[in-house]
Amino acid sequence: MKLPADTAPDPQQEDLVLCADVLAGNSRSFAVLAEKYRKRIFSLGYGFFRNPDDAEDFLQDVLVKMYVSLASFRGESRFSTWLMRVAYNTAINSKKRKREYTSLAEDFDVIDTANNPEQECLLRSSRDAIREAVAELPERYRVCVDLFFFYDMPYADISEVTGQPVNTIKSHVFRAKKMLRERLDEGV
Amino acid sequence: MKEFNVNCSKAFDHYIALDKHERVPLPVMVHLVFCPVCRAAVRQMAAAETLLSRPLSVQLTKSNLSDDPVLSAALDTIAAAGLSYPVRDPVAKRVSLLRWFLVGILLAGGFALFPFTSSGIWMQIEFGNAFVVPFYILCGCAVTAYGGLFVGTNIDLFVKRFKTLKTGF
Repeated sequence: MKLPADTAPDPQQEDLVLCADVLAGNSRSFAVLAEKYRKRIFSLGYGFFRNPDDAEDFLQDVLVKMYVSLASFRGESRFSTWLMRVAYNTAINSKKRKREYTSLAEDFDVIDTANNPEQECLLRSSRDAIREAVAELPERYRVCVDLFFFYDMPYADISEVTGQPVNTIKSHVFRAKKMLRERLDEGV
Repeated sequence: MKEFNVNCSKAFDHYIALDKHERVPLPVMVHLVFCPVCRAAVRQMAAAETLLSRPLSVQLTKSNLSDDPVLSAALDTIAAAGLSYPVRDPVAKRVSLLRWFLVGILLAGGFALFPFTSSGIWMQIEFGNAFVVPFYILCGCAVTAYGGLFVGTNIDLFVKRFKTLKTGF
């Protein structure tokens, strides 16, 4: 039976319950949390390291940090935002990190899913526009544009993760959206 | 076909300045209703943004997770360092807001209607103020205690809502 929309489980509430479960010693809940966010953490790592092996090592590091620091998570922000901040700081401070952050638009295949031809065309134009937009940005702002478009994060959450001012993030995303609009107008 | 004009540019700039899941302002909405060019462009932008974020959209999976080598390695590292959390009783499930409201309405409604029931009328006639005063004190205490319990057990929700109103996000 399908649940009505207002009684469907709230993902943030679910995360809080899972966190409380992990703190109560339930490793199964930790596995569920890890599975839920592994793709996001891996992708962020891939953007920083450009290497699947290093990205997997990074994922493991972040999972250990997530477990160990979970007691310090007070639920003041969303769990996903807190976790992305842990992941971002881990990547920034990693000794393995030799390269600048590269947008997922450069190598979208690492997270790509099957689409129909029409969607594929729209996606290609969108990726090109994002790639063009981030190419002109300094490294520390590239990740902000990625977090908005690929990770579906609002400005305030991006600011919390990266420590960049909300207005700076807004202006870079605005510019990227304008490019996206122009590209879609031309190409699709 | 109608061209993109100055009004369209203004409306579209407003639209693309919006945050994720932010409500479209009324003037932009009105423009979109009357402008098929902008409507099509907005639809296309929204479709593009959905497609870009879809691969990393978060969904709770209940698959068998024991075979995942990265997760197993992380759990091994945690166990080897002696960092595992001690097992405690399972966490009590939170009562949904809908239930809180329904029970609250029932409680307040019960207290409000009791004086008009046959038992309530009889007690008022029989005992007068000796019934009425303690009854309303009991009502006040019960409603206050229920409200306090509701706020106390959902304090994180109120803090979050308060912050949202304060920051506008």
